Parts: sequence; C-alpha cells; structure tokens
Amino acid sequence: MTAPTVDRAAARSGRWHMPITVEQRAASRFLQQLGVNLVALVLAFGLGAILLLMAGDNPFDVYREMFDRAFGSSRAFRETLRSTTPLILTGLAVTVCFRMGLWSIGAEGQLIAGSVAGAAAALVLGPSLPAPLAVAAVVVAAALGGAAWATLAAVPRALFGTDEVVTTLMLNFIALGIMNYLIFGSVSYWRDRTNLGFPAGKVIPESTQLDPYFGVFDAGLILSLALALIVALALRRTVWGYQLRVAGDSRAAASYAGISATRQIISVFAVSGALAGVAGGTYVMSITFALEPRAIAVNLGFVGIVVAAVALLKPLLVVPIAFLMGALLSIAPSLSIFGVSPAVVIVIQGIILLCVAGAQFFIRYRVRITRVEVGSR
Amino acid sequence: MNDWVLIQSLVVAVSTGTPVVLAGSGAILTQRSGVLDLGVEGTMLIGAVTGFWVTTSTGSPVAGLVVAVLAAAVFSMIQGVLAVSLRANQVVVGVALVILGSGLSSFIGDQGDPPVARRFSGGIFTPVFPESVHDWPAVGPLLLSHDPVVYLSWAFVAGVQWYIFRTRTGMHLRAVGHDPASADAAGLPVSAVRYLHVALGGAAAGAGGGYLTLRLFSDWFDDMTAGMGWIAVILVILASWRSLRLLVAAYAFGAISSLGFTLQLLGWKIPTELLAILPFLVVYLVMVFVSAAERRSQMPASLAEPYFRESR
Repeated sequence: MTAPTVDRAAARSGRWHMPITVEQRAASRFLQQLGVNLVALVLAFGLGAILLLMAGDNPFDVYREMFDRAFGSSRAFRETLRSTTPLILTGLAVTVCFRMGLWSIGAEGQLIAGSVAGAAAALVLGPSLPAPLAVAAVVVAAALGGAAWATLAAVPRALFGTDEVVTTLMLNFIALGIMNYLIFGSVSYWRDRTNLGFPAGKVIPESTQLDPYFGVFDAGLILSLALALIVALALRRTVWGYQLRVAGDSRAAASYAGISATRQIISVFAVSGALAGVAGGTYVMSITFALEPRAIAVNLGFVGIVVAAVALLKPLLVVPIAFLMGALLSIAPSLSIFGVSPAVVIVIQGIILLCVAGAQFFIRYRVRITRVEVGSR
Repeated sequence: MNDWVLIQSLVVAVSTGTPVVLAGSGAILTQRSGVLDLGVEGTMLIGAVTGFWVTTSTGSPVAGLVVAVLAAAVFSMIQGVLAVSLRANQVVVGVALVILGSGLSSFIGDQGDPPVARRFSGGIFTPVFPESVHDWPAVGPLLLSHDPVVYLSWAFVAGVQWYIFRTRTGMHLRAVGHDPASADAAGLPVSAVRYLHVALGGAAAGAGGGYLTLRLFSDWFDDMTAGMGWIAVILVILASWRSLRLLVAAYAFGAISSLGFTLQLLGWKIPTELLAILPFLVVYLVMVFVSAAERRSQMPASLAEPYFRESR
C-alpha cells in the first residue's frame, strides 16, 4: 500500500489555494464502503424528493405511498419479490463480469435472449412434460440462450480485443429488435396466432407458470437465492473464481501466472450471460407468461448494473439491494394513478448509481479541510 | 434527376444522420480530453425534451435549440464532476447518466400544462434557401435544401477539425487527453480543460437531441433517441476521433437507418422491426472487423483514465 501523501497542488500553484487536502487511504474497510454506499442511497432519495418538490408534489406523501405499495400488503409484497428475482440474477450477471474488469453492459440483451429461448422451451416442451421438469427445461434453455448471446461479445473480445462495452450495447439493441420482430413483425412460433389483430405473445402452458408458495414467493426467487450463494462460493472457493479475481486485480499478473485470458473471458461471459438469461426465463414464467416485448424490455439488465454497483460487486449483497430496487420497480406503474410521473423511479435509480459511483471517491481518498497560510500567492 | 432514388435517399440520410453528427463531434472533443462520456444518449434526451418544451411554449425553434444546448451542457457537468473531480468509473457513470437522462426527460415530459408529452409541435426549423433553389439538379436537394441546423453541423464539424489540429488550444487538448501528467508538468490546467470539453460535448449532444424534436420528428416521446446517442459515441471510435470521418460515418448511419424509406421507394417490403436492427448489426460487425484487422489505434492514450496528481 502506498503511504498517504498530501496533494500539495493547492498550495503550490498559488492560483487555487483551496483549503482542502486529498489523501489516498491506505486500505478501505468493508463496513466503511457499505456505510458510504448507504449514505449515497439516502442522498439519492433526498435528491429525488427535491425533484418531486419542484414538480409540485409532496415528497413525504409520495414516498409514504411508494412504501405502502411496495410493502403495505401481502399482494404488494408479492409484487416486490417478483421484481426482485430478475434483479438478483442480472445483478449477479453484472457482478461476475465487472469483478474481472469486463465492462459488459449486455445483461439487457442476454435477458431478452433468455426470454426468447425460455419461452420457446415452455411452448414446445411445456404441454408434454410434468411441471417440475418443464420448469427445469425452461431454466436450462434460458441459460443457454443468454450464454449464447453473451458469446457473441465474448469471442471477439477474447480473440481480437474488441471493446466489450460497444459489442454488448449493440447486441442489446439487436436482441430487442429480434424480439420485437418475433411478436410485432411476423407470425412467429412465439406469437398468439388466434388473435392476429392485436400482436401478443402466445401464453405459455400452465405447467411452466410459477405459482407463488403461500401466495408470497415463487420458485424463481428460490432459484435466484441459490444462484447468489453458488456465485458467492464459486468466486471465493474455486480455482475459476480465484483466477477471475486475480485477472480483475491485474491482467498482467494473471497472464504471468499462466491463466489463459481467452478461456477465462469466454467462460466468465458465458456464466454472466447464463445468469441474465435465467433472469429472462424466470421473468416469463412468473410475470409475463408469454413473450411480451413491452413487458420484458423494461431495463432489468441496466438496473442490474445499479444493483451490482451498490452491492460493491459482492454476490450476497446483491440480494438485499435487488430487493430494494425490486420494490422501486414494482411500484412504478401505480405511481401515475395518484398523479406522479412514474419516471421518478427511473430518476431515483439513475441518481443512486451516480451517487454510488461518486461515493467510491470517499472510500478511496480521505478529504480533509486544512489551513493554508494566508498570502501564499 | 432529382427524383433519383439515390439522391432522395441521400437527402434523408443527411437529416437522419445530423443528430449523430452533432452529438458525435461533441463526443470527439470530450474524448480527446481523456474523458469517455458514455452518457450521450441521456444528454441528447435532456436536450430533446427541454428544446421541445421551450419551442411549444414560445413558438421559436431557435429559442428551443438554445435551451436544449444549455440544459444539456449543465446536465453533462454531472459527468464532469464525477469523472474529473471524483475520478469515478466512467463506464458506470455513463450508464447512470443514460438511466438518469431517460428518467429525467420522461419526468420533464410529464410536467407543464398541458404536459409537454401531449403537446403538438410549436414550430420547426425550415429550409434556409427558397423552394425554387431546391430543384436545381443534384446540388439543389443535396446541398441547398437543408435547414439551418444542418449547415450549423457542417460548420461545427469543420470547426472541430480545425480546432483540434490547427490551434494551440487544440494541441493542449490533445496533450491533456494523451498524457495528462506531462501536460500538467507543462503548466496546463488538466481538470479545467477536461471540464470545458465535457461541457462542449454535452452542449453538442443537446443540439443533436434538440434537432430530433425541432425538426426530425417535430414531436417528443419517451426514449426517442432509440440508441442514437450510443451510436454517436461508438462512431467516434470508428472515426478515429476525427470529425470529418465522423461526418461520413454518421451519414452512413443515417443511410442505413433510413433504408426502409429507400426500399419503399424501390417498392420492396421488409418488416420495420428487422430494418431497425440493421444499424446496430452493421456497427457490431464493423467493430469486430476493425479490431480483427488490428490497425494501430489512434485513441487518446489516457481515455477513460482519471488523472490524479498524487499518483503521477
């Protein structure tokens, strides 16, 4: 660790004598990081409140109403948990890539690919298989679909060093376009052919629709919790996870240690894509019950980036953060009923991510107000 | 001659590509300073909605464009504070700005009386030269039929090229983006240069967004940029951070995006959903081929890397 040295820029240049010094912290503690992120969360809701005030709404009323609609009844709670499941999975997908320093923003497209593949499996296999097997088939198909879509970014990255930010982004739009084409632009296998006037997805068979246990949570949530645990263990306890973390800290060290970058990039992308794909598959089984482009393309992949960043790229922390964001997401549609723009939810998510990204500064550096001699100019 | 499909298509390609020309040229300035602003998509939306609000309230597209530029420049200062002063991860900040810009523009669209999103166009930019000139063979439709913003974008592209390669401050800009430590040692105010060019990039993106609501669609709807901002950022890479090349790339994008229009003229029918994929597919393939061909990158060497004197 480097010893904290003082940035004397202020004093030296003479023009900018701000009485502030910035020092690099020797090491940052986990709880400290978490604390800073929680402050960032509170700050985001504070800024959201200011925005609501400017729009002429009473932020306290709006927030109380939002809280009620997220947790106030067992029905509300169920909706929150339903939105939590895909966010745990996309959050994990982003976590895996970001931990290795792969800046994939492709969870959105991989989720769509998973939805398409999962819905296909449900429509083909659902009628003939018993419920547990049919659900398993959908999950596997969704995982494969997501992983395959991620490979389209992984292989160019591994072979030619093609920037993954660019490819994953383009693949998001391409996946969205394909899904739209399947429902709105053609009479595909996924489309409800009995109603050609109004384009809609064909409803998946009942054996693949997830019923909530005790009316509260469904198998998708259990699966996502299990996957969070598995990812956490894989990162900590397996060679794969160890190599991933080494490469994330230093590419050079990883290649010096003989870790194959090509294989690693492709496997990490595939795992990430599979997780995002499963998010799509469970989303279809638990919420939309059909390939419904408008209901599926709701930025779950992008919110996964928010979740992963707030959770400090820790798989187990992804769960509570996804729960919080799921609550936010599930109430968005009902906000317009009492005259508040539902977009305020997206605004708050954006501010949260900005605050958390900015807050990292205060984790890495210590800012102190110091005295500067008068007349140093 | 002016009825030729080629000429008609090129005219549409120019207007479709203009938002990307503006936003992309601005992004060149930002990226040349060493800051990778991925938030262009969000910044454009802010420009689009504020411009539409002002124009529907005042009836003046010029006022709308001015406000779009200013609002977007202010919005991009979030990127400035986070990327320059707080040294945040620029990929994460960029994504956050896209989310925030999408939400905030939609939120703004729901305000006002009547809400901005329900208003009809309050006025749009119209061609500069009289109708009679548009009929001149080839040069009429291609060069003389445009609105003032298109000519402004040409001036901007030329200005950016001149500024970066022919002026002293442009050289300073390149130095800051390439090697901030040396630039700092030579006495250049690294942070100030970066802040300024983030703001300029934001302003240009705002103009691009304003063009959407004040000319191209003459309407506002949620997330209307539909990926144009992302495309602008990526075309900057493909254009090797040079604005003249970006102009060509942006019009190529415009031609591909408006291919549906061309095919319609030719009497072909292809589902619009598939046509919508095409620009993104092309950019994906070009990116892969370019990186496979492995030309020497002309990327500003310190792009997306925060600068901190202490770790010099």
